[in-house]
Amino acid sequence: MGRESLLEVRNLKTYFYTEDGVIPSVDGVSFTIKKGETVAVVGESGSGKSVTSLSIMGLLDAAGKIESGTIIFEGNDITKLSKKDRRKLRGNEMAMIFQEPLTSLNPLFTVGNQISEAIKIHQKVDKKEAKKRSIEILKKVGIARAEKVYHSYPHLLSGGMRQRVMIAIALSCNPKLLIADEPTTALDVTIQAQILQLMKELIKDKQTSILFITHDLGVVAEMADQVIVMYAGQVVEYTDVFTLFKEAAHPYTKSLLASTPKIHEQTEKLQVIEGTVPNPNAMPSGCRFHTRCPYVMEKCMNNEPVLTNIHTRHQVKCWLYEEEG
Amino acid sequence: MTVILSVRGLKKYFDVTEGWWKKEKQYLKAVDHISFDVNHGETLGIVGESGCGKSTTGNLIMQLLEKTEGEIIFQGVDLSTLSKQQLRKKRAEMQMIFQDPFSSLNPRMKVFDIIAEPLLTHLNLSSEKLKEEVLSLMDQVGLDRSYIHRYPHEFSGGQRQRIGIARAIALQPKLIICDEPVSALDVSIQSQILNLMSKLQKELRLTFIFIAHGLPAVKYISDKIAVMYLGKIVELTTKEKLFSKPLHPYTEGLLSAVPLPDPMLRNKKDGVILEGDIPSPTNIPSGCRFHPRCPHAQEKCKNEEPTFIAHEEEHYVACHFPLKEGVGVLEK
Repeated sequence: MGRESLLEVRNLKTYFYTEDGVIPSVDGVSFTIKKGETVAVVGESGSGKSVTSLSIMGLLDAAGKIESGTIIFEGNDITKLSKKDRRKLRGNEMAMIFQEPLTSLNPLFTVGNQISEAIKIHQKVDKKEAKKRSIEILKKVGIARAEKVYHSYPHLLSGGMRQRVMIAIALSCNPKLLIADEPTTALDVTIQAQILQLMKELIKDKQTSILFITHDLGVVAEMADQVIVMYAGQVVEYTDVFTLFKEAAHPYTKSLLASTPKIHEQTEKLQVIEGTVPNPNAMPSGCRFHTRCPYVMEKCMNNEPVLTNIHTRHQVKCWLYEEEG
Repeated sequence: MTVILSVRGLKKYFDVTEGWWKKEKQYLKAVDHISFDVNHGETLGIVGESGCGKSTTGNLIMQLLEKTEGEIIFQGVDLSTLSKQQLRKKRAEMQMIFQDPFSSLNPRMKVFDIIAEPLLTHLNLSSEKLKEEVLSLMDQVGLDRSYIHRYPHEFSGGQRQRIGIARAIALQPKLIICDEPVSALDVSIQSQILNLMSKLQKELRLTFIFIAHGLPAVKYISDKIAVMYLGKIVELTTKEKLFSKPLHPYTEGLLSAVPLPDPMLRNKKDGVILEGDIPSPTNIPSGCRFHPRCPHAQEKCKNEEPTFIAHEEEHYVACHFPLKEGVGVLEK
């Protein structure tokens, strides 16, 4: 696994300044994505997984601010870049696809218009060449009638087709990093299978690195090389996909796996994680999971554990493993 | 086991004709001649992708939509023969839980009022008795008693769904139709609600119709499962049979499309990836409506619509060429 690293996130903290005070959405997140690798971020709503990806893309809204930490992309800290340089990076080097393709496509422009726009801006080619490349890329994402779709408006396409168009736009400039934020959550399951298949083929072809944000453990098992489990703005477990599903160590990860209904096994009773995800305004002291943890100890309530290696390439943020580390 | 609900030849066509001068009417065939029985105390799961008519089926049974054709027989009575008043009484015995706990609860009503409403409508209780009843319902669904005077916006999705469940069981119904009750919830909350539902089912001897697009949840809670595609039931059987040996190619495709939470199975699945999009229910393909996406389609499938018949005991399928070696996901 001596591949070069493409993206290194170090101790990222993204806070939102709202009327109700400062909300630490992402609180000290670190991870690395190597070239050609797919890293999945799993977590429930409010875990900070989407904010992590928006911080990397530089797409935080006015209230959100990167407090501290570094995001190193190909050797440069991109948090230090000017807005203009950041924009150059977006689209060219890194691209993003979102959950809801209908709201991320402009309804007033044709599909072709939107793909060739990206190509014209970033690759500095003329209109004709941009159109040619757009149609090529539409074909590549499995759209059979590419010429026809090129001239259609987004509302005429089905959900699956729209997501293919989004992928086409994202890949139009051959980015090195693709951030996919719940790209299949809004799709039907047979269409999801098609899109996941398509993404796998593209990764193989181009060696694109992917940061895959999802809440679906099935999708993680299908797509990921490395997995980051997030809870309440922090990484609680970080390891490769096989280790995670075989020897999950953090109580949260374990319960998450046990509470997922599985279609390939008989389940009598699902294990339950009691309670709900804590409100970011009122984070529990100590370990943030202690209010819901079945193995909670005295120590957990007041002292925050640190993310430690329990094996090579297996990091866990839990007091249960502190001695062994 | 006694049959509590029978649906026979149920149809719902929506008129979608555009323009004044068109002579030919156009219909959206949301539900197109379906029949099934539900036994007392069991759970029938209805699965399918968007536009398959699963939610319309639920709304038709609840009489929230008027059917185009067919019979809905609940506890031996054809619901369409009842007067408005009689139907109102009957409705107390069938309730519904909705997908979105944010829009299905009135934001201006407190928890107490939401849960008390059905009791006030159907029963004549003194105010102390009413409060007692509401509190005991809150206990049953695991809501803290101190929440009684709060508004829905103060709750998380899972707690709101508990309020919806408390409201649904308030009148001790026999049948509850659950339309995507866990789809909007986080994984850890989903399991809480699913477990609550199966607990209540045992305690109160409830019958569920569980409508969902997510196969894992349906499999967990259901005894029998009906798979719908474009307004038709294509396969109906026990969950063991459905998940271990599907007969319909659509079911097989649906099963193999679900990503399994085990990376070791990543490349071992021998299922098929279904191609193409789901056709629009306004323009249903001829013959078997699945034939344009079916990997085994033959000439006959294009012209002749298959009938929904029992292929073996308790295993119904609508296919000219049911799979001999259907690939399931469940290992026995």
